[in-house]
Amino acid sequence: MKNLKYLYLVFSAIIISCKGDSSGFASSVSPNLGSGIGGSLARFTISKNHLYIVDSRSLKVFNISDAANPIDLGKTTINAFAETIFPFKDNLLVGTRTGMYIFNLNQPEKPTQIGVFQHFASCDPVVAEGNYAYVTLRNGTPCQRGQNQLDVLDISQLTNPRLVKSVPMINPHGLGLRDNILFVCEGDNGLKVFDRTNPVEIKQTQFLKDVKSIDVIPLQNRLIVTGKDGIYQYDFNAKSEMNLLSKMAVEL
Amino acid sequence: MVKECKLLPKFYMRKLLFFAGIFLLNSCQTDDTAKDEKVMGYKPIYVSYSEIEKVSIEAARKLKNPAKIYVRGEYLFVNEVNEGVHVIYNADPKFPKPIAFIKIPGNNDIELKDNVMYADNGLDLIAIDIASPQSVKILKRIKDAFPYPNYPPFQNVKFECADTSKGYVVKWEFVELTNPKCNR
Repeated sequence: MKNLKYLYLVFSAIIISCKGDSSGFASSVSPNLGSGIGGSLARFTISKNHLYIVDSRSLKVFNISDAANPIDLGKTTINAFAETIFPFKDNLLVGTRTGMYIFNLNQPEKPTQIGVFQHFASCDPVVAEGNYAYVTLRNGTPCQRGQNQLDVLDISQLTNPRLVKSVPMINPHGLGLRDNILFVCEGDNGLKVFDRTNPVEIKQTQFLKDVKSIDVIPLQNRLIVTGKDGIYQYDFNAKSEMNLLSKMAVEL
Repeated sequence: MVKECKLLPKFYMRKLLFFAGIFLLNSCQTDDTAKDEKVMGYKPIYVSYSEIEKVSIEAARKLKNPAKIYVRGEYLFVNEVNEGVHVIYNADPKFPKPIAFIKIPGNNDIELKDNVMYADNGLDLIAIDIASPQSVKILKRIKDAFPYPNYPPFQNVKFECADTSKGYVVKWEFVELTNPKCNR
């Protein structure tokens, strides 16, 4: 614990930088300056003054107006096994084992289900931008009956999400998007990069087969990948060119 | 097929049913008398409820079982399944620098708001003050915010039934079990 002094400085810096930082990825993804960004497999998310958590069949709400004193506001039941949560405008897109559920946050303390897109049992994180959501469906434990594919959903009407395209995958896990680029983790099989200039007719531009990946966080021109072997960081550009910056290896 | 069925004499049908019945009875008996079935399955590994509440900040350590990630500003947080959170100073992504490990038993997810980290800690949701790293201060603990992990995260498997009185299940080990009573 020699580094305590250093740590203190660092943590103070976190607070200062976050309070003062009104630019950059954090504010573009999440309106509250004091929060960051999670990957697509996250079960926790913050929208304004509320912390939302999905857990098995419930969507829990905590009031965090006073950050130090979260208050349990109860839960909303979901008719499916929920695994991931993605904030989208004033809504939450919840990935479950049997479909994507959309909850509206007009009453932030009481999310209301307004739409659902159901499918066969699969694991499925979701990300979205504009009028489209991307959902990966994965076979394998704990979702043994599923297909392996990426579904593109038209969510221009949130009350009526529609499947517009399915792209076969090997064994997709987390995913992330930044502008016209979509990243899809293929588990032990690698990491795929797609161009989504046309958001429906996505085109694979890269397949990094040696990068075991389970989830990604795309920042401005930078990608953080988490996987069995460690944490990878890449630079990327609009042409989907990827340049490895570092790899933090896992201790075996 | 329909024609053939109609032609099949009743006598044979009865005999067939009789033998089928005997066969079924026998197979049930065999199951009952089977001794100590040894199969591969999942065994719960417990941590006591008092132990699981021990949250602390420790020196940085190497990555192991990295799972979910979270980014804020120049900091990257990496969850180590059921163990806690690696804090990495990532201002230069070419040289990410691990600076601390926040030990949170039974942790898989985090969120941040200002200087508060929200984390699952076994059955509980905790709010931790991350402004004073000398000692982790738990600002609030919301008890039983999460359900008890009654079964392993796999399907079509046998496992030793979890016993809530023994503590929280931090992991499931795949081992040879004798007569496991639970399956899913």
